[in-house]
Amino acid sequence: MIITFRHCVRSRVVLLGVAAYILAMALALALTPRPQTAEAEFAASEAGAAFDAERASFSPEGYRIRSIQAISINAAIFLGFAITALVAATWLPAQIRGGELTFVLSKPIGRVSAVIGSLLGFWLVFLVLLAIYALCGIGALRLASATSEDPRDASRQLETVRTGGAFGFQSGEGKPEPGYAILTSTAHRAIWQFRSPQFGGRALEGGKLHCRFVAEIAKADNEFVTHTDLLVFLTDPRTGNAVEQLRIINAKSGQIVEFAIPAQKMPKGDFSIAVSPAVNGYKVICHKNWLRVVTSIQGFEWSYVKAFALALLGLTVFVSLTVGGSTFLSANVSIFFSTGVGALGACVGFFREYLQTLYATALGETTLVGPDGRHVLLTHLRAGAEALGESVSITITQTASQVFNNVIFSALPDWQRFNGADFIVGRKDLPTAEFGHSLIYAAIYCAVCVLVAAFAFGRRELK
Amino acid sequence: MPDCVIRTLGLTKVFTDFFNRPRVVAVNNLTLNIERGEVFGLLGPNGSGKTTTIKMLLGFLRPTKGTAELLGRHPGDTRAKKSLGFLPEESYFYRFLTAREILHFYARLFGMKRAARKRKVDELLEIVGLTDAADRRIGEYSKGMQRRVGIAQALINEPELVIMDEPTSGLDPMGRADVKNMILDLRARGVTIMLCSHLLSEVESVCTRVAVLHNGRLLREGTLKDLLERRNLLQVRISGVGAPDKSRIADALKNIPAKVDSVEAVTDSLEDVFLRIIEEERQREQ
Repeated sequence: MIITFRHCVRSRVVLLGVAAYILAMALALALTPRPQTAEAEFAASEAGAAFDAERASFSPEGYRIRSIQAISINAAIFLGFAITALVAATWLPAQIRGGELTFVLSKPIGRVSAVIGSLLGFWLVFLVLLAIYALCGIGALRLASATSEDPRDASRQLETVRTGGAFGFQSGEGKPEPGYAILTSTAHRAIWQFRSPQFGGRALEGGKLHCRFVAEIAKADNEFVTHTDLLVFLTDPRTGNAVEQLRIINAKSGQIVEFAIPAQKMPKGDFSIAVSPAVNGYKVICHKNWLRVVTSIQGFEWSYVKAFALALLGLTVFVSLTVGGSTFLSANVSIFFSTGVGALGACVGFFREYLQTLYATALGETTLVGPDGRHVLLTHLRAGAEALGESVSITITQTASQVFNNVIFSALPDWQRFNGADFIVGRKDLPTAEFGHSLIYAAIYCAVCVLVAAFAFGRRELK
Repeated sequence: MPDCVIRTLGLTKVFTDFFNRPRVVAVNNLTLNIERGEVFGLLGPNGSGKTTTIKMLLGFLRPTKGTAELLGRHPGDTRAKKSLGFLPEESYFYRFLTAREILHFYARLFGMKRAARKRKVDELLEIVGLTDAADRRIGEYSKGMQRRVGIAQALINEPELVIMDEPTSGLDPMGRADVKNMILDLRARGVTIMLCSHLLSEVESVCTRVAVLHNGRLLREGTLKDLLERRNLLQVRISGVGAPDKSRIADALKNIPAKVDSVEAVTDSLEDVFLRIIEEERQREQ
């Protein structure tokens, strides 16, 4: 374990990765007052985070620093996976070929100890690596919060204090369906009514009322286009007049956006918040539970730490898989094995996500249920599939999906369990139970890998 | 404690190809017994199966047939390895560690306490002459220096049994002399040593018993005296003989009042014996 750790710490791959990250973070910090530039610097410095840059570039205002945090997690994960694929996959085979392991195994060290020692060594490497990344990220967020004028960039956790109150629909024609409203023109508005005393003083922290909002959005003539600007109106129910109007720029379908209403604009007593499309030609579906007033809590970034802990669990699973494979495979084959199984797990995970979207209600795994009883993203996935000429007929039952889930992910790593970046971007608190499930899954997966590895390595001949 | 430190019975190793078809017989029905306190030389040309035998003894390779015991235990048993020192043919070290670090590392694998470890490491560095270079990374060492580190690590646990594969490989004459003296010192302390070497003069000077392997088979085994002695020849050394009279020497041994200094069997050098055994085997095979 010590040797593995020392080897990795002295490895140029690790040092370059950490140095690149710190340099990137320094650049991002230096340019924090201009978040987009910071993002560009950051993304350019971290090739591994490139796939996540899109999220940052298209994030609404108030999410940019969070996106940088998510990038930092993904960068750490990418570097961890790269180290695992390049170093951990070849570690044991290279030591067997180089003879170092024969030296070690001529001492009173069992082969199982050698395998477990290697695993723990890499685990220690990733613990240190992620700790560095997390500290850099937390420091960046603190400094960015101090320099940013947007309070939503502050280092705060958000919690819901009030879901939507009475819900209504305002339109020149038609009437709302129960629980949701379909807005097809700028004249349509979904309206949530609130009683002011319900919020106490906390919701108005920083002199603003903070709200979170989700909508399903699709362009009327092209359902591939799933983002548009929305208008938010603060109205006084007594007069029916809008006292404040905000524009949510580039709201994406199914993605949580936040907006804040200045406290001095708040009417005394009850008030209403209405949402409408900013331009015609879009279909915007609003659910009565999809607008929530939230408050923020000053405190430590536990979600960020939890996300890194999840990343560490994911890397541990990958290291177990990789080192396990390398106990009976040669170096090159071991690289293909670990990356192949890892990629296959990711692909099957995406496929499962697609299936879950189709059968979200039946599986009962989502609370974001659309007006037609399906996941909010369903419309777009279906539209996309149909546009591509694919069949979307339902052929798999719920039971089959569960069997698929349980069987497949007993063999392949379930990366979705270790994705903490989405929680960071969504400002959602990572549920302890979910973290516990991920921990148990990782522990069982690693234990099986170690058992297989110990058996295979015990029978391997060291020529 | 077993008197037989290494025991093999019909030990055979057949290397196979990907489809498990026999490719080469590396060791063929090898039966050996090495007693405690012996310095045993395992000789043989390249590819004769010496290293394969050692790897089977250490549990790195599984025998195709036969059994092996090391210090009375199954090869690979960590309890047996506690009393074992091993010097492989090549020095395989973590190149980013210093000599001192690597010796501490191996000492820790034996569970040695910090104070004892430090004392032993310093002592061994002194013995192998690396005190001044102890804090340089092994990657910067010459082959000879790495060999010295290898010898030091083989002795870190004060072993009962030391297996050395070409211990003087890469060493200069001074280094070879040091190793030879070290082996003699170990022998004097009752340590059992199994030695593989191509330098037969060194084997001859330190070993008590040798075995000759060729193509995996044991051709000859015995004490050096048995192996080197030419049974049909006698060497008589006489001093004080007057005018030479070769025709009368035989009678003179009995009749001439001269002093007979010694009457000895004629012995060859180990190198001569080794070459003769191998040559005979080759001719037999042809």
